[in-house]
Amino acid sequence: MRACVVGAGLGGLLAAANLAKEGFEVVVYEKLPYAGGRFTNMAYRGFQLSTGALHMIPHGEKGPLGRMLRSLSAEVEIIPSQPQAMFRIGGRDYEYEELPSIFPLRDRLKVAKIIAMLKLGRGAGSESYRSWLERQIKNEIVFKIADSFTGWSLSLSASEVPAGEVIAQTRNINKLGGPGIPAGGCGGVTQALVEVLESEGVRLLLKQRVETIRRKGGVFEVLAGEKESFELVVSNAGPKATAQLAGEILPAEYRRAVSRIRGAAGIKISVACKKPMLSHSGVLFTPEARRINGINEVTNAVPELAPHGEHLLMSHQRLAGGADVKREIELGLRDLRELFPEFKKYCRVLAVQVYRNSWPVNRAASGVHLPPATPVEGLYLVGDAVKPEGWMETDGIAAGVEEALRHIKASY
Amino acid sequence: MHVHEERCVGCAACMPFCPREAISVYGVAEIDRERCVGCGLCVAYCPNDAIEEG
Repeated sequence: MRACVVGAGLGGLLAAANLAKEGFEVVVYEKLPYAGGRFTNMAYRGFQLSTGALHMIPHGEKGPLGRMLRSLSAEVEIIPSQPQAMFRIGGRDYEYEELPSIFPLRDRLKVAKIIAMLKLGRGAGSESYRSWLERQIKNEIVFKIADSFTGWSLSLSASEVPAGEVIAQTRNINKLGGPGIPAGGCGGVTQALVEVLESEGVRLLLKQRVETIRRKGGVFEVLAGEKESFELVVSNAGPKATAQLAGEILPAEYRRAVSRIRGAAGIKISVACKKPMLSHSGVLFTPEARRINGINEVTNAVPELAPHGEHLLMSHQRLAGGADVKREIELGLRDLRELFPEFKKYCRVLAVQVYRNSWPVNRAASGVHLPPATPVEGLYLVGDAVKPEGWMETDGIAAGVEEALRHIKASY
Repeated sequence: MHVHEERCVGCAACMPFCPREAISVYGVAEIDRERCVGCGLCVAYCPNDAIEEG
């Protein structure tokens, strides 16, 4: 059986490695000169920046990605963040468990109840996380904390994400724990997966753009320079690009639905620091900042991501649709200068990266649950548009690949 | 090199690969024509087909 994987992003690499282990003869086509898509490193002035994702895996080694990497024998160490997260409120940093204590007594019980409800996973219909919260409490700080969490992890505001999605995610955090930082950053994971592909005999073709996917005599005919035939096609190119490549073999109704999928956009600022700005390797949520939702300093766990003695700080902020991008960047930079009084003295901005349109944070916003199976038998989707409920970021991608593989194994 | 502003998202994936450090990105990529030697690496590394030779 021959399988074609379109795109060597994280979803494509994971799918290819798993299919090879299942005995498929796999070819991966990647239009860019490198593997990893928005999940790999780019070296810049001695720092390991990333093409997209932050150097962080939401549930560390215990989540779907960590588990899948182990099952594939992809050798990459994932260092747990310690603490998982802090929240900067009123100039002080608090742990999650400490949050009720910052509220006046009348709200303290309500906040404790919200935390308990999130843990138990009860009480949300199809409403947004914001309106679910508004039914429990009227307190601006609570809404800001919620926005910083969803902005950091999903690049959405609390009013753009279903409450059920956040509750399912919180359940997974409680079960599996918080983030971890892969040794070598995103590129460490990509490299380990490329090595698995090599040892499994997968053909990984870089700078090889797929032009069309057609169906002929019960097989897929993939045109990428030359024509090749496959029994199975797994696309990591995103639903919209896949619909374009596959054209008429997909029903018009499906193509229309796919064209309406909304993505999520964000801005990442990478900063070189002469001394650490954070004392830990977890996420610092910044609910009171103008734009920045959260920050991490991965060199506190993996010093190799910066030149000796220096540190790499990365901030992330949601980018709202229709916003003036340059102004959003300016506000993000202002936040950084205000959050860290010594910023001017010890820090310099390495890169400002915007993720939107054809190179977004997520090709489908969290809360949209696109199944990996398409209406065409043998054509599957993987990647950040195919995240099952409750799974965010790269763990969502791995959980989506797991679901695709379950389907494929049942039908081949 | 020419940047198509409507296709460039400002992801800066081109920036580190420029051997002349001729690219700066602030919402959109800008190429310093004085420094650019026309090697075309940025064209290959752009995920959005936003840079063209010429």
